[in-house]
Amino acid sequence: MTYAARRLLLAVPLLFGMSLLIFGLMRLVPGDPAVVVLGFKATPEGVKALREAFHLDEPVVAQYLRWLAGVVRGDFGLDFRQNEPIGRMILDRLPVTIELTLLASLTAAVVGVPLGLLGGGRRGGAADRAALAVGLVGVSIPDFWLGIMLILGLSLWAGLFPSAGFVPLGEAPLENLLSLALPALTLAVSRAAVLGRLTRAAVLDVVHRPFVQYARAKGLGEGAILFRHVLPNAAIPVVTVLGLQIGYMLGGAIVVEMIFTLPGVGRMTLDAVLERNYPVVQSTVLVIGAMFMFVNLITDLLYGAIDPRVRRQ
Amino acid sequence: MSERGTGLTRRQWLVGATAGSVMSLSSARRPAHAQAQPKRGGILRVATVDKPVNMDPGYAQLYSSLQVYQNVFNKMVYVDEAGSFVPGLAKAWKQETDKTWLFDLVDNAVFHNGEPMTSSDVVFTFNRLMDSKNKLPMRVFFSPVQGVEAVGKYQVRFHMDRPFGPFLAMLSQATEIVNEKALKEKDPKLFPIGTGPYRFAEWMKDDHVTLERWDKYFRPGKPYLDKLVFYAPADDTVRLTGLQTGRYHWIQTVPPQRIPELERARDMKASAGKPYFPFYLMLNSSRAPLADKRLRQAIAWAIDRTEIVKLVYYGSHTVTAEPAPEGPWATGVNAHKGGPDLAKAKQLLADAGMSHGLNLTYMVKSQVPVLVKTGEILREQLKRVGIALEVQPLESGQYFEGLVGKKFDIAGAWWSVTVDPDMFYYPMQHSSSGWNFSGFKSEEADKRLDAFRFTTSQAARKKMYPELVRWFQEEGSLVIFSNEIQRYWMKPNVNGSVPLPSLELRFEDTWIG
Repeated sequence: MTYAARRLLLAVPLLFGMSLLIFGLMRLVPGDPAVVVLGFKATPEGVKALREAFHLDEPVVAQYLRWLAGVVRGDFGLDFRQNEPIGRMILDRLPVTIELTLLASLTAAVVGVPLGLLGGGRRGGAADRAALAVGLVGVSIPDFWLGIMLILGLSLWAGLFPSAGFVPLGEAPLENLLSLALPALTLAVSRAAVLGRLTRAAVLDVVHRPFVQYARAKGLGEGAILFRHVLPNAAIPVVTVLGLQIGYMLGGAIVVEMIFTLPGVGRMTLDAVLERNYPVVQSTVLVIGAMFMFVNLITDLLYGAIDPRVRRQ
Repeated sequence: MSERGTGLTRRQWLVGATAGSVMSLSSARRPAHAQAQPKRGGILRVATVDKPVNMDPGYAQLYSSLQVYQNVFNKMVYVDEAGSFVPGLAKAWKQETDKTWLFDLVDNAVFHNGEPMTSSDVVFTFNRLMDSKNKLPMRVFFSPVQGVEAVGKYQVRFHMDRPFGPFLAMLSQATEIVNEKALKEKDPKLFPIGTGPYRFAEWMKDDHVTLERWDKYFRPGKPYLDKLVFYAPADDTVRLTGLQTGRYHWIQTVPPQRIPELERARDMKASAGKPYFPFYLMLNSSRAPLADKRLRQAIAWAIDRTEIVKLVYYGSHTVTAEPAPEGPWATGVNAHKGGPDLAKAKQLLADAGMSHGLNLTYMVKSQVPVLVKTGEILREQLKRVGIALEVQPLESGQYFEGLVGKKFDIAGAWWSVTVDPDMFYYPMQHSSSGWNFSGFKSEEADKRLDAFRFTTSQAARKKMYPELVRWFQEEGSLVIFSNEIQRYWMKPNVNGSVPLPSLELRFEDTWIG
């Protein structure tokens, strides 16, 4: 508990640093938000009025302090486009991204880890070669291409899944799963390949250790050896990478959200960046950063659950 | 419009009796419905190009928002496929004097919050729009409107400070009637409440907006659909695949190179195509070198419009040199007919002392790849007369900053308002306009534009218009090279959807067979 509390406390200065960084970076990007919002309707008078309304005419430090004071109170401010509370915008989109992330991670883990176990357990065998080939192909396929291919194959030709859009879980659970199936699969393939290769390498590292040979000498079956003795000892790097993958996906699988028109955090962040919607970008990045830290903390705590030696340390 | 067809003077009723107007409206639309009797019911899933951001018509911020809320609200006047003005919430109107217009309103329209629509709503709408404190961007379009007065419960009078030629066109563009009580009840940016054929039901941000049939709509029997759901996939291919898989029933814009193939497809059909969207080059006349008219002319003579349209836009654009090549404002005028004329272009360059060559930049929004490609073709075309063009694709913010700051030589652009050409030329070329991005300033231009805007006789305006087009073509600060053909793609059983000069997506008459 002390460890977790210490990590949570450490997150405060990290988030503060992150807020400074993202605030500063956004100001360095060329393009005036008032001009972007007005587009072809941008007249000098209109731009001036909008800059005043957005407080962009204030010194940068004052803008930062105004925003930070709001964040501390739990008020992320209003977005430039439609004056909508940013907190609500993020909360509306987070469930989509979280669900997509969980589905993709689950699929990746369910496919990738056994693939790696199989390959690592029987190095050089047919299963290992097949797992290596599948892993190589999976890692090499870019998400945008795979997404389009899945739409063409499973949606357009086979008619099994919708090609785009999102149905909330609470509205229609089955349709929700169907609407997320292809995006989750798109994300899962490359991640499963990475997990598979990593698991294989970790298993190879463990499989020749004396306790494995002892288990084998004891007469245990290969399956039991792999799952009961090899996997827990090879799991640490796998869990680390899985945690990182979840963190990245929570930040928004932008390409996949665009291809499948999912109303998630990634798409919102990309639009906000293009629109120079400063408060949305700042707040979203901060929330994503906080989630990333949280996922990493969970991952670290999981080490202790998986390996008693870590717990004792 | 009725002036032209019937010979009525401008002091007479422009539309005449309601019955007559409605008849002319229905007959104008008959071809789209002639094959079968409209059916009631069904859900139409529509995929547009961009997502809506603000449902308050006072802001009219983005076309993507307008497309949705124009089905929730009604305007007083509409424009039909032929470009004629037809009744909306105003069933008839007349111009009483040069500076006053009288409108008769329908007496059976009801807002979606249950409030009956009366003249006080029209007065409120315009007072809200015209009040500078509200800072509503559409105000600028109605600057000649002095005030609106409720004459009776269903009659309003508009007072102008000057005769205002494009008044009806302006009304048909941006004046959705709102209700004061509704605006106070809920945030109009998020919860639009109008008298339109569909009432707002749900807005799932970045995914869809659902509208439902308004059963108390003032036109009996309309609309036909139970529900209308707007989606906005960001990519042409995603939209098209969605139509093919049945996810969407109606989509806007397909990849231009696939049009010939899609025209043969059996699982979809296309509406008629109408060139309602001018694409053009802005030549910065506010600074050297293009402040020199001869250089602008040289560029206009060097450009091969046909080649640009063929190589970049395939069949999705029409070659033209004017903003409205079809409809009541088409002129056929082209000051550079017979172009490209490279000899003439070279001569003009030599006259301007640039025979040794000229370096120019072409600024374009990188998110509009067709205009980037246009720049690449342009670069090759201008090379033939000794002009070196550097194509500069810029991200949205930088592009618009460049426009406002006039930091470019040539910029690729488009404009969407063409019901009355005043809406194109006046904002873009009048010296007093904030939208005059090409920085063109000329007393003669202002004189011509003022005359065109502040003349109320449509016949007189029509007469002066071709000369206006030619004059601006010769000045060359705007070089129109094509006009995007508006065409909608839909499932074969979707009927009653046609492109309108106002570019509205009006689903009041749409039905599923």
